[in-house]
Amino acid sequence: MHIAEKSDFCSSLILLALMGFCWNESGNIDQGINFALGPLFFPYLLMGLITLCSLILLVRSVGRGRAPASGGAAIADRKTFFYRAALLCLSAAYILALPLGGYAPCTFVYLVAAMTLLGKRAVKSLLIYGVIALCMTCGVQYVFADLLHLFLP
Amino acid sequence: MFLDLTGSSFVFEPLTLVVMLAGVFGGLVIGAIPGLTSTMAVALLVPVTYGMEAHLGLALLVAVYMGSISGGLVAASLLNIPGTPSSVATTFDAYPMTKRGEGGKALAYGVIASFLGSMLGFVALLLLAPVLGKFALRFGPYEYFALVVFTLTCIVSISRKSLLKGAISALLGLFLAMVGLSEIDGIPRFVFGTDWLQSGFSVMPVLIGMFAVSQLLEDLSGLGKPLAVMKADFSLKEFWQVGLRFRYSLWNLLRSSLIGIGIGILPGTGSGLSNILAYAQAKNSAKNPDSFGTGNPDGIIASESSNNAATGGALIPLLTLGIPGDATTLMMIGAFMIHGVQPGPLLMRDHGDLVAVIIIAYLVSNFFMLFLQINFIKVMIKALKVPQSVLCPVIITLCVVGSYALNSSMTDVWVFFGMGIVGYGLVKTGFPLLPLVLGLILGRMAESQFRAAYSLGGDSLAGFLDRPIALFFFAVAALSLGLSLYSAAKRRA
Repeated sequence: MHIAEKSDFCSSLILLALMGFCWNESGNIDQGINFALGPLFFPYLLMGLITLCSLILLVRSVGRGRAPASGGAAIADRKTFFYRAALLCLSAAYILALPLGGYAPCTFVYLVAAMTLLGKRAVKSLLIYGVIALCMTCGVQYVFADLLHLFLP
Repeated sequence: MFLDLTGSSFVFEPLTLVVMLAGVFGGLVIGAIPGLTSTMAVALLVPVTYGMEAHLGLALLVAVYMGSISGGLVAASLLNIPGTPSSVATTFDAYPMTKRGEGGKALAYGVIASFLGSMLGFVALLLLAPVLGKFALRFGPYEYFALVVFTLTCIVSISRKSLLKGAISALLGLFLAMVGLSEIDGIPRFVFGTDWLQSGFSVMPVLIGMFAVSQLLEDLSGLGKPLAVMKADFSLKEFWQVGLRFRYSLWNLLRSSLIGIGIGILPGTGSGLSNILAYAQAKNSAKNPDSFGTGNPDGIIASESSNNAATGGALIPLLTLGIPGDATTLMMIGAFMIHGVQPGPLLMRDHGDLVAVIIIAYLVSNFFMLFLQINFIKVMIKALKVPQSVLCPVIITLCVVGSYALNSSMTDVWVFFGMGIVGYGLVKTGFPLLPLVLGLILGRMAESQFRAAYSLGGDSLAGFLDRPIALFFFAVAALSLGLSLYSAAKRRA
């Protein structure tokens, strides 16, 4: 026996853990006056069905015989993974900084940093990123705050 | 039996026309850029409409929707990359035509087919929407619940990779909708002692995160790879010559548009599937099927007319039943909600003016689309050269600002970000996103209608047996699921 589909195996385990967690949390939910099946009937029904489907996925992900040899990730894949992870970290930092630094400075810095991370790092490119970031920051500020009267972070 | 379109005069106000023209143009540019889909375009714009009148906002969204579906043609013809999923089949013949120096012709065939397909979609919208709307007024809790089951089953059935994963996705979406105060009892559920989960997940941040972030992260795999854009000389003279040639392809055009309309009406399918089916049908019924894939204009006509006709089809269940025909109209449900309008069978009765605006905006946008594609196609060709390194941060910024603007809440921004990562993880592990977000939108309705039906039936579910419409929905759902299971088993054997 071996794990034939690693991603399915992991997803089913995550789903089962999530359902277990929610099952535990459901103990804290007030049942109230039991009107037409109660507030927990539908969630329990869904949790049961998700658990059942996850178990089927888990069983399916386990194959018989020996596991095939797995090749290492290609360099291109690793590079893309790095870019994705770096962009996500940068975006999280941007969201964290927004309430502290305000919309305009944070957005400008974020745009320049993210474009530099993902694109060319020559002086000319940096200037172009700066201009795009400035136009974008001011443009969004104008459309959302001035034109549509919506709040910005 | 026609719709009352008297409320639609709003569309012809100068501001609305300008906004729609800009919307169609923006949609065409976004659709032309590979990786930016119509769903993403509408998702980014929904928060912007929050500050507008509902009429203006919805007219803008319809304009962007129309433009972005048609914009995919440019990348399909010149790059051999479908700008949107709805133009996959366009690449089969448009790119070979471009390679042999007929890029201008390929674009002209696509532009005219898009326009005519949309016109047929408009006729279907005008004729079918009132019929279905009147029929839907007879719905009660039994029918509503059965309709939700039917919709989710349809979407799960078309989960091409795995039915099981499609089902899990839909169930997860329904479960996410259970978070927050329950509709009937007002009891907080799965809030984990927090305040911010009391009102449940806001639909728009989840939609924006799931569709936009997952798509952007996926597109980063193409980072730094230069795109080889083919040249195309697009002249007005050639455009008219191509237009005259359409008289030989009328049957292909009609059949493909009807396929598009039919697929568009089915919940959750839309233009992404219709262009492939119409292409296959055109090829199978052609006198010389081998010429398809080598630059046969009929291939472009089939694909482009069906994907544009599907937009009209997709609006029909949205306006009459409150059920989205595809992922983009799903975003429009979010737009309805932020303007305090509940999509569903009562929409036509209570907000007939809004429905009229949407239908007429669809027609006007189609003419704008033709005008812009003829005159500004060179701008769209230039848009193909915008690098991912610039697009990606710009779109994330728009998503952050959009998520915040709806409720002025940083929690919504974190929900958008978290759901983006979850969505990307789901896509990478083969779980489709559409059933999940549809489950999230329909979950509360499913629960409250089911409980209401149970209560109406005297604490019994027997009432479902006396409802022919509900039974019909259940039967079709079972049939659709059965057929999908059968074909999946056949593939495995």
